[in-house]
Amino acid sequence: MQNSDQELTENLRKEETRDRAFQELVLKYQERLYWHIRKIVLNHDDADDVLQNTFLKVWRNIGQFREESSLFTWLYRIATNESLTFINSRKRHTLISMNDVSDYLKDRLESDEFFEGSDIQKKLQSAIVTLPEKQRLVFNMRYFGEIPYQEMSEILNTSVGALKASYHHAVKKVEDYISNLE
Amino acid sequence: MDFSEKIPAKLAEAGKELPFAIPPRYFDDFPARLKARIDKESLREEPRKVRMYDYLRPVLGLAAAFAAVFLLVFFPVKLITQPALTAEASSDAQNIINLVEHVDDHTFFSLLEGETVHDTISDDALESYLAANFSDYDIYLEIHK
Repeated sequence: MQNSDQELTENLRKEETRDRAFQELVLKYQERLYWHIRKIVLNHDDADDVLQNTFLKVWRNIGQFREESSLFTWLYRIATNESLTFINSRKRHTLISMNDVSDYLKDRLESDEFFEGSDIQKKLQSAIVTLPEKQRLVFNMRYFGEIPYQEMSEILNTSVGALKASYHHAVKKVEDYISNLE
Repeated sequence: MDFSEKIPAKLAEAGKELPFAIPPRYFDDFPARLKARIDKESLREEPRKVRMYDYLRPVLGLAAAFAAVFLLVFFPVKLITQPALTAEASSDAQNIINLVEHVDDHTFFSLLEGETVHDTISDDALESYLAANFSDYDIYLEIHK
């Protein structure tokens, strides 16, 4: 996979192979990036917008990719940043008066026609949106995505120790939130 | 601190499955929709027609910068140097007053009447005037100034 990503990156840099390589990149990563984004923005329509923004950014900035990190890490980092930027910009432009991001996300979760979870799953999502931004990201990436801490550290530019602490606090808060609902 | 990853009972009950669905054939259609958007964005980013203003913009910018620097430097400098100029002017006035004070009445009135001093005063008269009013040393200093 590593070699294949390297080959893909090289082809993305050459103008004559760029279009084809980009198509390959989209096919290879669209699902993984979509689910990563969807866990952050919750709503399908928003996830679709952010996924397009992410690939558009990749298309424009592939020349700046320095291979200091893996292609996968670079893509995840862009997707994460695009998701957070999207939430903050939508929250600013929303007509409903909302105190924080969690109110906005809760609203988006409830308006999502593609939510098909059980009652306990809905409670879990409601609990996750109450977490602070970093804890929310870490919880989603670790709990649902099962991404290794080392990779998360590169994506979020945070130490492994800090990520473990964030996850620990997040789990505790989510558990308490669900228990209080019952 | 214990950061063990034992999943609490409530979380375990919710499971690790994401409760989200996607529209049918979403991932099949996505690449084509993305391509359409990239093409649209690329068209939007095509170079626009160059106007006269675009050519003049650097020059106008430079001129504005010079004007700003001139205003920022000229006025403070003018404000600082103005009192010095006034002092210089007042010093000139003082010199004139000193000169007038040292001129004898005859010369002063002659000047006022527009007469030339040399026309009315002979060399002898001047010599006697100087001898009467100034010492030899004063005359010597005046000559060798």
